[in-house]
Amino acid sequence: MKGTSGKRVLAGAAVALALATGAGPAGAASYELGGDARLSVNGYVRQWLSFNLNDMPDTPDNDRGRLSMARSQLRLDTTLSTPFLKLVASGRAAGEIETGWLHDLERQGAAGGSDLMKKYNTLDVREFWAETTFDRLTVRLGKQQVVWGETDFFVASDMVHGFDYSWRAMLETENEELRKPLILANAILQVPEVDGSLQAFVRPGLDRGRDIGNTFDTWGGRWSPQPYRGFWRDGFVGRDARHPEGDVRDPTYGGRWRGMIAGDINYSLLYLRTFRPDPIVNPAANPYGGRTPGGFLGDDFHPIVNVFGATASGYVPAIDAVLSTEVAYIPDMPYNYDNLGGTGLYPAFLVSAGAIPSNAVGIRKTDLVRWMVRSDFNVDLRNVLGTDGSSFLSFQLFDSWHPGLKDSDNLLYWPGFQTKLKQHAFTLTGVLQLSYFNDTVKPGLAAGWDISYGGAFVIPSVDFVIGDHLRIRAEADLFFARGAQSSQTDRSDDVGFISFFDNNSQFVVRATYQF
Amino acid sequence: MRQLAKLCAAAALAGAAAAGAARAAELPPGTVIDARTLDARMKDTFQGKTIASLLPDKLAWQVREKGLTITLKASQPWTVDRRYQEWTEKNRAGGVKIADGKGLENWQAGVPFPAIDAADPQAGTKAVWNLLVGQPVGCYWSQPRYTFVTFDGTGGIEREMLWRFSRINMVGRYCDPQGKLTLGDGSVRSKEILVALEPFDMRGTGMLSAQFMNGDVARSWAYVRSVRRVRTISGSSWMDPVGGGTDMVNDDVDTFNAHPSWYKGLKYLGKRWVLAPANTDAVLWRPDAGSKKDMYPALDLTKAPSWYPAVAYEPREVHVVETTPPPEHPYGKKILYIDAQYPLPRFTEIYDKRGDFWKWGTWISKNERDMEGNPVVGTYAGGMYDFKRNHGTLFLSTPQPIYNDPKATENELSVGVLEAIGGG
Repeated sequence: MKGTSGKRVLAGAAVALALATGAGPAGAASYELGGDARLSVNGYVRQWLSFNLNDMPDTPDNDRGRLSMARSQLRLDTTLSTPFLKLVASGRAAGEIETGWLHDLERQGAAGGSDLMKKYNTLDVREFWAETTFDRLTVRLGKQQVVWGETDFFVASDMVHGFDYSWRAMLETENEELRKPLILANAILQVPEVDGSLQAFVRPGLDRGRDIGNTFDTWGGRWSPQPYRGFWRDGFVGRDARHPEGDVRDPTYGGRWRGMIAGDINYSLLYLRTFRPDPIVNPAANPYGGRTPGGFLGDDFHPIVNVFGATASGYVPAIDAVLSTEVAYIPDMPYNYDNLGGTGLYPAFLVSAGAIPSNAVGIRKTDLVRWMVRSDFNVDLRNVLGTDGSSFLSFQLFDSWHPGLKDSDNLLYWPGFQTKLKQHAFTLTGVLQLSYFNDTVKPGLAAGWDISYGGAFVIPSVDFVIGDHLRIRAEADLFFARGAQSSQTDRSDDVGFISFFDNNSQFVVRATYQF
Repeated sequence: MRQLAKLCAAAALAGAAAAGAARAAELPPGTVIDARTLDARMKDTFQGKTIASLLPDKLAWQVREKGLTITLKASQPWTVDRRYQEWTEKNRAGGVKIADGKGLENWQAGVPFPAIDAADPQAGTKAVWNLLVGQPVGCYWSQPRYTFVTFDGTGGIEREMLWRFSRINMVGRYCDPQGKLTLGDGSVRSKEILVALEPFDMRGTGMLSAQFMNGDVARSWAYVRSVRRVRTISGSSWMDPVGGGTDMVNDDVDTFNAHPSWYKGLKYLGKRWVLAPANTDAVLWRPDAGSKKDMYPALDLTKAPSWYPAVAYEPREVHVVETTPPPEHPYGKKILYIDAQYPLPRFTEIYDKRGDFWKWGTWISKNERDMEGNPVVGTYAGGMYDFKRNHGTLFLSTPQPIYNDPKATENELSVGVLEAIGGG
């Protein structure tokens, strides 16, 4: 039966594609409906193949060269535009073939004996909203994405939504595909006199539990952090979307002012009440917030936090660069702690048996300031590399700073790992994008260095643009971890986010037929 | 056999005589000039001017070598807005000056330099300023849908992209509904917003830019749909290719889309007459047609390179300006052909750094009416052909571009609106 649901999804995709492309020329199928109403349908069919480039210590066989992902995806976007109302519906169907390697992970324990492919074969309404404009005011109601902030790769104030990092980690180029849309009432008021706009939204709490916060591979699949590939963490740590301090049914909201200052500096000021993106664990050994977790070791949950943010970006002619910055202040950001130097996760019976004091683990709060500075350059590599035009070069320094953190707080970088939270977490990233043959061959290079916790990644890639319909991308995701935990019994105090990807370098080919 | 040779010789003489007679002929409108007839027509005249004198060398080369066909039509002077004409006449007295080689002094609207003296050392710069601020297009121009079509010189249509474009002129607003000749403090020349509608991977990606009178680099912001975020982008992007794999750089928009002071030289080469596609009535693009043939009725898609629309050419008088870009520019030299009746782009002829011919651009204009019924002249379509790569780009306007919508204000072009359009 494995893969059957994936086949069903793909069969549906083929029918939908036939419908969508039947009427159109090169681009979207578009239909004039009379009365200035127009219906358009567009989207894509996409196929990924990814291969492991490393042998992994947490699996018994040699993983190098094995197919880690054979994923097909259909996206259909339908837009009905009338002079007074716009309706948008976007759906996405994903189906994967269970590769031999995934099958081995499943046999090893991933997904806890159920069908691992159910984690990857999905059918989602990505967005579904209606929008109308009254002079300067635009109101959009429904499932949608609201994106704030300036930062690439990392999240500072782009915290309205969580991201789904489970099937492709954070490596997908288009992060709109990873962001998890929410049901929102969203209004934007244009204030052209000062070249500004005021935006406010309310999430009334109609979303599903799985729609809030970031989703990680917690079932032992291909993006489980080392050394937990093939390990069903969900069997030990549950998930609670109704924790009193992080209840999906509670409304969240935010407001942002965006404007121009000094003529051409684009800035924004924002406030958000939203869910902590990465989950923390309500520990079974010391339940938090008056809620006893259902999981053996505890429950993942996303407490609601307040975010005060500011962004600015502007072009500086003297250095021919665009400088950008972003600051997000999150007072009382909750973290797991472990006074015993462990992972923060213990079964409740150890407390009742008196083996550990109940307050040895739990949740403590400390202020968090996330900030970023970035510089974008246009560099002329035409004579050096023969590019079409100037090339894009960008450097970004990102930090998660805990100004009030004390060593004795024993806050954990990530529950489940012994690494203690540091006062700073600096990461430097760089991106270079080139263009050849009338923008049809586009090599790129992205690299990052986790200065505080250690490790680096390098992602060389090339995109091919073939006519209107076909896009092919090849990339290598290369991770150079430091301090990674190589087995579940191994102890490491130096685990950072890159060490989660240790030995998980990939070669990926992605082909897209868009319509 | 000898008789046959005599007959052949006689026939050849007769043919030569006939050709000689044809060289002297005044050609009627509708005459077609193509590779087969070009040499025979060069000494013929149209509206009293020889075809040879009406064809810049590189245009004649395209007829001879690249399959360009030119159908002659009578010149048709443009009708322009009365207010524009009045401002232009006022400027004829010579009151407008170029300030420190940068902005303009004493200019309010109309063509700033309606009379260009070839002996004036600033003649080239003045012709370029006319093109930048003096086009008879009004205050606001919008194309809710226009297309870039790229061509492989041997394989036909390669890509089709759908875009939305709006431009608001911030100065020289002779047709402003509130009578404001200038919006803001006069430092911004114009603002433009450009948003891709198709294909899917470009959809929503857009750019807002503001050009300045005084030579400051343009300020630009891009909305990147795939990450749903506005980013400020470098002002030096004015020399970069127009997105989507076209054959134009941003500086090629309207043949010259820079500030005169950024160029090393703007040398006036004089006035001449050329055959150019002005006042076209041809339908070039039917966006909702079902087949390529119906969608591009003026293109012969069966014959490479397929990129020349079948539009009639008429004699137009032009100013010719040889421009020398700065060293970091991809071009070595660009020659502009600017319409002399009222400033509109006609052709651009581009050379590389070694001096080899590289690209040719043709601009097609149309004399239309704005939303209040006043006459305007705007660019309707055009093409840029890269002969080194044997690759071409056509830009074709929506069948009903919008000129001077009295409801359109500066408010329509802002970062917030860019974000709203791209995100929608």
